[in-house]
Amino acid sequence: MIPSGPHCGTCPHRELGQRFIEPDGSGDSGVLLVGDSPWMEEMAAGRNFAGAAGFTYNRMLSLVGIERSNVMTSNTIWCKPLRLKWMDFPERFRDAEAAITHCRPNLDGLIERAQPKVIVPMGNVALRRICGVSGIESHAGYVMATPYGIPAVPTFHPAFIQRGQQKLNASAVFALNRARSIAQGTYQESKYDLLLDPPPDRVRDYIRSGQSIHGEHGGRIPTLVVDIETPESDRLDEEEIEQEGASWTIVRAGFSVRRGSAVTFPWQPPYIGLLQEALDLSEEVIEHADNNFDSRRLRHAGLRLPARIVSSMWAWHFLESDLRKGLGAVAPFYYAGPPWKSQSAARPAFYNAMDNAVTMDVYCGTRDTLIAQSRWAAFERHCIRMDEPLRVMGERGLLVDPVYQAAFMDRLDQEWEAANADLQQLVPDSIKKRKYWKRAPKDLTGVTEIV
Amino acid sequence: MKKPRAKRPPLPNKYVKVCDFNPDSYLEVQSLAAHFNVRLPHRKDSDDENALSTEKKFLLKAARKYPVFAKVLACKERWKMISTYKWKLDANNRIHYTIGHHPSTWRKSCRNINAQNIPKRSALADEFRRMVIAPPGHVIMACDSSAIEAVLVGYFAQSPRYIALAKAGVHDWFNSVVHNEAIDLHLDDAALRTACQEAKHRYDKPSRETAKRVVHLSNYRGTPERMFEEYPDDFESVAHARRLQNVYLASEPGQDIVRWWRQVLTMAGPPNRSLLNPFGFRHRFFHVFNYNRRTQGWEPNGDDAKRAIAFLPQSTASAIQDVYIEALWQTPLASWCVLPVHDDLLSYVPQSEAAAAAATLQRIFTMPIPELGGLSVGAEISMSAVGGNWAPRSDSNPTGMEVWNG
Repeated sequence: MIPSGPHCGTCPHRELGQRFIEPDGSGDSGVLLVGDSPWMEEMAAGRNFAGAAGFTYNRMLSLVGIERSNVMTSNTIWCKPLRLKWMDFPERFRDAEAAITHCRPNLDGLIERAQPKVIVPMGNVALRRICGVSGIESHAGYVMATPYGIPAVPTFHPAFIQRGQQKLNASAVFALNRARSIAQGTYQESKYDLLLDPPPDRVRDYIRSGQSIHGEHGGRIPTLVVDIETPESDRLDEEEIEQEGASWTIVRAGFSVRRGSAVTFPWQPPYIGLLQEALDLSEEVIEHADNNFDSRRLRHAGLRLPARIVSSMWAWHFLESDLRKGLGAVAPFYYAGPPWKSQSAARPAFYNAMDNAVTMDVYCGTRDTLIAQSRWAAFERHCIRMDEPLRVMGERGLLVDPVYQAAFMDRLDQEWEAANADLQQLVPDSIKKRKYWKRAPKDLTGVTEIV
Repeated sequence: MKKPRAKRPPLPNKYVKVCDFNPDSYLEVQSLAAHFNVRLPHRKDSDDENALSTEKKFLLKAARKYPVFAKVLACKERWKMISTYKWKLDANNRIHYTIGHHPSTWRKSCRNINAQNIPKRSALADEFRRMVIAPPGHVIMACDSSAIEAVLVGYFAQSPRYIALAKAGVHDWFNSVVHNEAIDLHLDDAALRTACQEAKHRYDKPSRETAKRVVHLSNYRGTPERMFEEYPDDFESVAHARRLQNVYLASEPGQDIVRWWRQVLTMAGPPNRSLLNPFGFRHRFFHVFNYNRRTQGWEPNGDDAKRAIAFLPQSTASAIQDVYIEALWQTPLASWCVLPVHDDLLSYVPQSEAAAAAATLQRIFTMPIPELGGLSVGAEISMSAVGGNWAPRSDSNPTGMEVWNG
């Protein structure tokens, strides 16, 4: 059935697409959910999200307590595309991009008519279409701006969740709840007091503002979040042993002494001394890392740290063991606002301060939930108290006989070469890959001229 | 106006080289399989509809008919060792690692050199393990919680009979059942242990391995297809695996396990959708049941069903290991422990302290766990010679690891 929508006549995809499917639902709740496209079961049923993905979709809505008839359900393109995942790779399938562009007026018109209070793009295709950015994993759950002036809360596509990613249900349900709160007008964006490269006196004042004035922590900072920035924070492996390389060079640091605030500064005196002052006053240091990334580098830089170092990443992992652990993935559960993780190069100070402020929220929120569930003591025992033995064991390491290692590896090399030579004999030439040149290559070994 | 230059036709290819076959490229192995009409299953972890699995178990099957696949595997195995285990040593010839809790069951992970992933149970693996040695004047001491997961399966199944059997040797008991010489389950603990020990020596090693696979995989609801896929050397066919599994699950201890599955799946399904172990580790499960349109009923075969069954024993075993490490940290062994490997703990112990350390390990690894109502697990200690290595002891490796009997 050739698509018969109002704009289908000149669509480059018209001859290949099938059946034009209109959005469904009244949209009374003010929520518009957008997927990528209809598929087989939607073709048969004549409505969006009708098949197995529809089951997941309906369940997500029911877990949030929203009636499907009260939301509006639509897609990025409104007919069945050539094949599944056709629209997932715009750089590979140019015609898919053309079809999406051509179908824009349908969704634009719907948004203009329905005036939803919030849009929920589900999956990467819808995220690109609504928000103009890619990467659903790094945007899920955040509140994003759209060209329509309507906020969007992206989440995962029900079909993706249904195909072995059921653990993401929790994340999707959370995003839908957030969308509903926006639609109902109860949403409140997180507000942070961020001190970006302030004068040293302001940093001193900030430290004082975190000192407890009474109780058992009198004069101390109960919880101090610390985060450092390095030129290459993500390239670690080889530098682990030698404690040198770019990831051991600190270029910026920041900390947070209380919720809703953070300070950041370049890694230079007198700020380094002020950080030491804060560390000396603190009862515990929090970092969002699974390998003591920040604390090890701070120690390596000569700073003294308190004995108790807690990873907010492990605390989150203890709370929700099957969800992603990176700060960008955890943040939406404790922070309401737009993503900031892409701004490390453009706004390094803001980026670092946000990392600190959000980590404080993540840690305090996770701790409060674990306490409420009576599981904090278990976390203390199995993670915080285990940290030292496990770290010490890793530092001791295993002793290797270097002579045996060299001989064994040489032997493996030789065995591999022998096995590979046998293999090349057994594999027919017809299935071996061929490399072609238009001009004679420098190395002519094994090269033959095409006659 | 300058006349646009005519576009030159592309030069034709004039030289060609037939490249070596790359056994590590799954695309090339796929082509090889297609050439020999070997059917490979689809890759479960790939979105690409055309991606086929080139896992070892499937290539092993193909190798029975076409020797080229055996060569592919030989190359892959050696290349993996060369590329993964050519460790960079520090100035003291040591490797270091970061131990964490990455798995969702809170089992311990090891990164930046995964020392927990060191190969075992093959001739090549034994040779590899000889690389890891004890410092001069020290022995390598490994303490393993014997059959801890089987004991915990019995604990969660609330089956004292299964716990006793797991401690005595459930694999050997099942092997005796397979050989129609079933050990009496109503013997007291000591007699049961003796009978299982006798069975261990009475039957051949391959049949014990097969019994072990059946018990372990069946406890976690593994299918006969999976048993045969994972261990093609241990089973003649899927039908063989199914026959053995049926025998196991029909037995009294097997029935205890089946009852436990039902309980645990009910707990993990809606409305709870999560399990909590006795130490406070929790895991959520969103897809335990699938709706069967034919029977119009919900069946516990969702993606999370097997994970739910494995969660309690595996996460509890990890928590118990923490309890042991916590206790060991109050003893001199705190200075000697170097690596937890799943249910095993490795230490470098000075020769003069070896007997005392082994006794301490034995005491701690068998102590009752209050969170589990005083349940205790067995321990097996093995030790290398002074300055010896981590491979099993043999005539060709006289300084390797050997079970310590006091």
